[in-house]
Amino acid sequence: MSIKGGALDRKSKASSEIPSSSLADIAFLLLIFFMVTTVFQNDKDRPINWAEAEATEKIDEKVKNILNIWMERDGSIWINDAPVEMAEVRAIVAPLYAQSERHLVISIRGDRDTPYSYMDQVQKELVAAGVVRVVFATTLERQMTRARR
Amino acid sequence: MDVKRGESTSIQQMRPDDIEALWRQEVTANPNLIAAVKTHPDAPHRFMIDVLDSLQLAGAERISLQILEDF
Repeated sequence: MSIKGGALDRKSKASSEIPSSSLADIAFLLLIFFMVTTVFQNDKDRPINWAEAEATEKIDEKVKNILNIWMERDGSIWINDAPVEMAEVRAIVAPLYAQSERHLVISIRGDRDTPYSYMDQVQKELVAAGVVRVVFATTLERQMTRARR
Repeated sequence: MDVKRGESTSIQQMRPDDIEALWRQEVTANPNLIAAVKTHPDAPHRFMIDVLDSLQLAGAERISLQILEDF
């Protein structure tokens, strides 16, 4: 007695091809993931010698709400990779501050040897722009360095 | 670095590192104390940072930044 059409007669037909039906879904998910997590840096680092501080803290604010103002030793100012005159700082910062709904934090990144008169001028420009959140960027100082100071 | 207290005319010279202990001592006597940091226009930025660093380590919350005009 033969069994026709039974399970014993079937041969396993394993596909040798890679299933590509879900490939588009995976690519789409990856695309969304990178779009959500990618943060674009607004500006490149300027070649400054950082001031060191033991009490250095990380700014508790989103990167998009931080505007770096680079000040080099000779008093030249750079904002978003562009050189800026001192008198222009207010005009540049004020609209950005308003646009951020007053969340913008100004990070002054000054060379450690920049004369304070330049720092004072840029602070006055920021006050005129109505900015209330300003930080001086520093690098973390180690205890040994501080002891030698 | 020079330290002057309130209306006092006497000036005390000290290192930035010594501010931390001084501030803790002074603020205990007067919790409303404000640190007015006056920096010489020609002084390097790092000098002001050193002073601010010491004040921050001492827990100072009321700090005023000024420029030293009568030098």
